[in-house]
Amino acid sequence: MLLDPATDLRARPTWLGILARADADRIAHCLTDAPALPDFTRLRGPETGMAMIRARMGGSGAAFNVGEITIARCTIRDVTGRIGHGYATGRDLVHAELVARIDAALQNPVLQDRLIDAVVAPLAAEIAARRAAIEAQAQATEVKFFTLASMRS
Amino acid sequence: MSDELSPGFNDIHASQRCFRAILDAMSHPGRTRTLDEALDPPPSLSVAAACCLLALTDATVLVALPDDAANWLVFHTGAGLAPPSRADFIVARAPIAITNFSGGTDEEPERGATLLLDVPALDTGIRVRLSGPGIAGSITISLPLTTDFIRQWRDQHDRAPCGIDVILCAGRSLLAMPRSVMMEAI
Amino acid sequence: MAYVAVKGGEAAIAAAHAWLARVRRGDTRLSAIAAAQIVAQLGRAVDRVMAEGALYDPQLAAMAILQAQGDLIEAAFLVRAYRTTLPRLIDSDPVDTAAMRTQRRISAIFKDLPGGQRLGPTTDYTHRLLEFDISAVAAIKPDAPKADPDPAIAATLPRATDLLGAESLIEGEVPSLNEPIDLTMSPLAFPASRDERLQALARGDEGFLLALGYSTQRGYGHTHPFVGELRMGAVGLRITPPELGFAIDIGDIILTECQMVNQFAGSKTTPPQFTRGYGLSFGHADRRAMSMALVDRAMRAEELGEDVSAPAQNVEFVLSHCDNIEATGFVEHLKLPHHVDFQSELETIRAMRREAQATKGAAPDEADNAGL
Repeated sequence: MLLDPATDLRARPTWLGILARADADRIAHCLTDAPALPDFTRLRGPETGMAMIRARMGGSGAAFNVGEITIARCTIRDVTGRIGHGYATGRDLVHAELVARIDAALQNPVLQDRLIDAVVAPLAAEIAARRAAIEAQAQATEVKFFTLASMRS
Repeated sequence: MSDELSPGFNDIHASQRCFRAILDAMSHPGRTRTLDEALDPPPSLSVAAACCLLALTDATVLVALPDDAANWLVFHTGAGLAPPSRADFIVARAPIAITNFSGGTDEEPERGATLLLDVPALDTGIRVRLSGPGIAGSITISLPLTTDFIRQWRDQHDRAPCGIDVILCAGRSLLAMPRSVMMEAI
Repeated sequence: MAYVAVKGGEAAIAAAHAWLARVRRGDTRLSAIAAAQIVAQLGRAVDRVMAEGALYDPQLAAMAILQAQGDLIEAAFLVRAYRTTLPRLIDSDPVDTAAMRTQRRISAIFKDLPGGQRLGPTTDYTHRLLEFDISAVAAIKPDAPKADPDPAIAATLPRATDLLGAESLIEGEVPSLNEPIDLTMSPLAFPASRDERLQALARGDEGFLLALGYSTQRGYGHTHPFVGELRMGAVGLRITPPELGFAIDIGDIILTECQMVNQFAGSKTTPPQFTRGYGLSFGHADRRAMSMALVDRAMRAEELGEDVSAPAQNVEFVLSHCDNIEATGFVEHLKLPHHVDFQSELETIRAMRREAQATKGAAPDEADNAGL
């Protein structure tokens, strides 16, 4: 979805997915060009735990449990009363709290445009670039198998 | 739901302290423990009852509790909601009939429900004598129970080891009555 | 078997730990390895520990490998032990492997796979010889990405087995609304449903799965397998937190998926069609995913009306022994003190010998006096 320039970065699931895929250092770096995030109260966490990863038999059948993954999450309420939720794979509590704070701020029309420009859009571009680099290597390994004609037919 | 959310425990240690307090209370039936956790629970829960729920519940248990506290608990611990007859933890504001609650099975008596009786005060009510495991001899205290409740409590001993456990909560205090406690009104 | 606690040896145990710490560190003139280096450079080991530890966290797996001196079963054990300290917060939505951004996608049954075959990072199609200077290999063969990747080629490509499915030549896989069994919450029970079996295989010992898969190819169970498709790449992990009420991605994970296609003659109710074995593993793990798919298919023998005669088809045998954490615990516990048990065995055997000799009327032999 992120390779598509038409992706609407202002959709909440989209920005949460982008922020989750970044890391705390990159987010903090982007925030230096953004308006200060509002003060906040922690409602839950930040805390680490696990999610059970589910998959489907044969890829499309009934669900089964594959194994777990560490996740970090955090929920905050900022001074404007907006609630922000942060979830990300891994165990980085700083990351989860940053996602939650930015999630709350992005719901604020006064801050949204500037946060999209300073944080979400650059991070989305980085994710897209990372994926494109992998895809370029994958395409370099594309192969055409061909059958040799049988010698005795 | 978001507007009514208030924070849960600050950190894992708060949960551990509460668990320790509950364990201690269960080990010494009738003895009052006080919790000093900073917590601002929903209006229908005392601090003690809220601490018990935060410390003891997770996504694997079912809880029956007042509506205004349900979202709060689900948000913090992921507990499931259920009617009292199917719940592992039941919050009630006054002594209620316990015969419909799950007492566990002979194979899994640990599945017996825990009743959190969330009352205004622990030491007013009828005089009872408690004895049994965790009590040297017997103790006599006042508890906010009814004679009917005490009769049901005695009856559940016929089903041992099945039965329910009770934690009495008021404000920041709690007192436990594991199913093994004998109780008689005097 | 009864157990009796034994006390003592604290100083010896402490000294053993200290020695182990020095052995683990090795020659201090060489630099110590950081967990991050293991994540970056020993990816296959990390993937195996994540799979068998049943916890996706490359950093934790690398720390465990370091602590365990590269003993991967011990590392998986450490990861499993750590996971018990974490609360389960949520179940993910089932991952959509059709939407995988494939780095590798090969099919052994279709030459002209729509979307093309991509080999990914592999040495599958060449000889594998020991390189005496592995660091030089990267220098000789610099990164060679395609200069102008074609944006029209979707990184997400349909599964090869879906092509067979379109013609109904392979059995369908139908989603179900049932909550899958979770082995971390309820212990293994028989008969085990396929969801339970797949979870056990996903965390099973790779060597055990490999040997069983191999046995099916050698005639112990007849599955006639073909690799319909093997794919590896990144999949978005999606959850639907109740407080949000909508699905969000919380990161990407690398998975390897194997769709094994097997012959099936058909029955009175089912026309002849191919059947499936399914393998899915954390990380890049062809061997594990393929072995899992073979064993999954073998264990479906009863469901498909086939003879159940081979070890790999015996669900109880496979599932009871595929977990290397359980296996190593039970095997290795034998080296812990069993002094008291053995003392009672000794007494029993002495008594039996006395009895046997008494009935023979012979004098006690010398072994009884040898201080046993």
